[in-house]
Amino acid sequence: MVKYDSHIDVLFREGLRDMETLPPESLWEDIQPVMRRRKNKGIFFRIAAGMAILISIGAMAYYAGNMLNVDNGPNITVADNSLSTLFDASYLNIEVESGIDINQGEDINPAITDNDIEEIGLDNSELNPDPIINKEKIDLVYDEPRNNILRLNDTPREVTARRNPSIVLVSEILPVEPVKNNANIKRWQLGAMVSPTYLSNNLNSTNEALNQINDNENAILSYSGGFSLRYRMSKRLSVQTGLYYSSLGREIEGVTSYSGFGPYASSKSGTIFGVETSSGTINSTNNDIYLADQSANRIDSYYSVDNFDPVKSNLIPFGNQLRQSFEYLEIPLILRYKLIDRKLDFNILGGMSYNFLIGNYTWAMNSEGSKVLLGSTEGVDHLLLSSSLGMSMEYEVSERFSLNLEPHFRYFLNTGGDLGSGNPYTFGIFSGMNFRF
Amino acid sequence: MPDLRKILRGCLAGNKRDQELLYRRYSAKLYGVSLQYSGSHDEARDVLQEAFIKIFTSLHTFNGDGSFEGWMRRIVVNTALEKHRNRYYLNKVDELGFENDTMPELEADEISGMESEDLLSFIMELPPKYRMVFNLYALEGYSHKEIANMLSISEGTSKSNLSRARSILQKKVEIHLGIKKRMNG
Repeated sequence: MVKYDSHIDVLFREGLRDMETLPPESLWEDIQPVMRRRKNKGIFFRIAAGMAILISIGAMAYYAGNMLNVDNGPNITVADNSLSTLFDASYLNIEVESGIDINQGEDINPAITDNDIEEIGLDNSELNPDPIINKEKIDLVYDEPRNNILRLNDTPREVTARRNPSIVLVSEILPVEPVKNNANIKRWQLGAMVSPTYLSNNLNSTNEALNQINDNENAILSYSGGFSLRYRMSKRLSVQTGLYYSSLGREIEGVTSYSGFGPYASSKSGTIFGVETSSGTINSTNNDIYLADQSANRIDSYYSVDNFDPVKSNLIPFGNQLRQSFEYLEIPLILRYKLIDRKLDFNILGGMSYNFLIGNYTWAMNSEGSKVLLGSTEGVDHLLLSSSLGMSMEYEVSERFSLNLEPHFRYFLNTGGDLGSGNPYTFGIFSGMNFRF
Repeated sequence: MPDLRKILRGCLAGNKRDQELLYRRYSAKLYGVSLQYSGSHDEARDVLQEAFIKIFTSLHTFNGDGSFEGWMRRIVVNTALEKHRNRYYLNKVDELGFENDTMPELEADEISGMESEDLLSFIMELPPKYRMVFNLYALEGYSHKEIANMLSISEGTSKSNLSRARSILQKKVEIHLGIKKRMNG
């Protein structure tokens, strides 16, 4: 005798153990759109996050650029006996209270000594107004400097000879830095760059099935290139965009291709073979090519011929590799910061890019380099968001031209495929030249 | 029939045909599980849809420990529990103090002829809080402590809900058997 309460547990457990009930037929049709929507939603949020980061970085950079570009300094009153003091006054509006009647041709600078020259700086004690005598004001006006050496022997005659004797050219009495005229600064820069590019594998998992796919795929050396447009926001900070073309790809090992399959090829969907890869499924629509997997069971066949025997048919071996190629147009937004400002500059750079898929091809390859187009890879993202980090060495050939070398690391924020579990990355070394205007 | 490993590999690579093969192979069994945790076919459908989306998108986390079917079953059960928690959390009513019914004993051969469809309908007719506890305890084998954690209730509530569920099911079985006896006799 079994107790009823535990017996009823057993009754239901046993009675329902292997129960199967067919779900409504429409359920499968509803699953796919939901998955697509969620995926698109994820991409949308990533893009929005990317935009927010870029806008924030841009705003900060703009603010920092404005802080560094101080055009108008404080108004400082300088006592006449401190005119000989050497300091970089090019950014300051200086008003001089002179105790000397310069109209009378007296030496405006009689007391300049080596000690004065050593007293360089913006020490407030030296810049405080001297409340003495003659409150005649002299406006200091900057002109193009003639030299950077203090002319101790200059006499006020040069000054008084001017039409308006109250105006003194600073360059005549102070060794000023060259005045920077913003209008002459070349803020824009156009560049052209190319780079060999290495693409990592898509998948990153301890899953055995994924590892089997990964083991048979090799990254191939691809290339990127394009034009960049850079705007110099400050002496050290610039923002860069552009348009780049990237051709990325992988080689799939162990898939043998044969030609001569045409008489047997027939498929409702148009796809004859499907090959699983880390980027998605290659859909081969080439009727002439028969595919066989030598190392792993990655191929699905969709031809409708029953009992096809490849051994008995007259297939001609073609090659043992497939090559996937993905072509992207990249629009980056990069911030560059100049760490070393010499003839050979050194910069660090970082930012984000949108990558639009414009080409998706798969070829069967042979050892002689010949290739036959099979089709495309299904499930590859059409829009990728990537972040970039790199450094740049820039050599100034002339005032307008420079050469540069830029190692770049680019990390994709999408996985690239429908369910890829690892985010791919690329590494490239860009080289090119720039033109300033 | 295609090899499961191959189907899984295709699903991992994003192959929609392999995803459909996986769905076709297991949807009937998992729909049965989903029905056990639901009050209606519509609810079960929603649970199964959500569960399959989770299965496809988290397939790479299945590392081969244990059976794949068991892994999918857990996802279905957890999805049903999630929906239950969301739906009933605010209206949670503790059943502390509920006294066990004194249940008569029944011979095993009396209930051996029950159809699985009947058993399923009895479970589906249970109030959700009783159904969840009974399923988790009697069918999945969880302890009251685990169930209390999963449903955010006390152990006492779990025990009383189980007792109440058994009592209701017993009555349903008795009525069903009585009708059958009358029909046969």
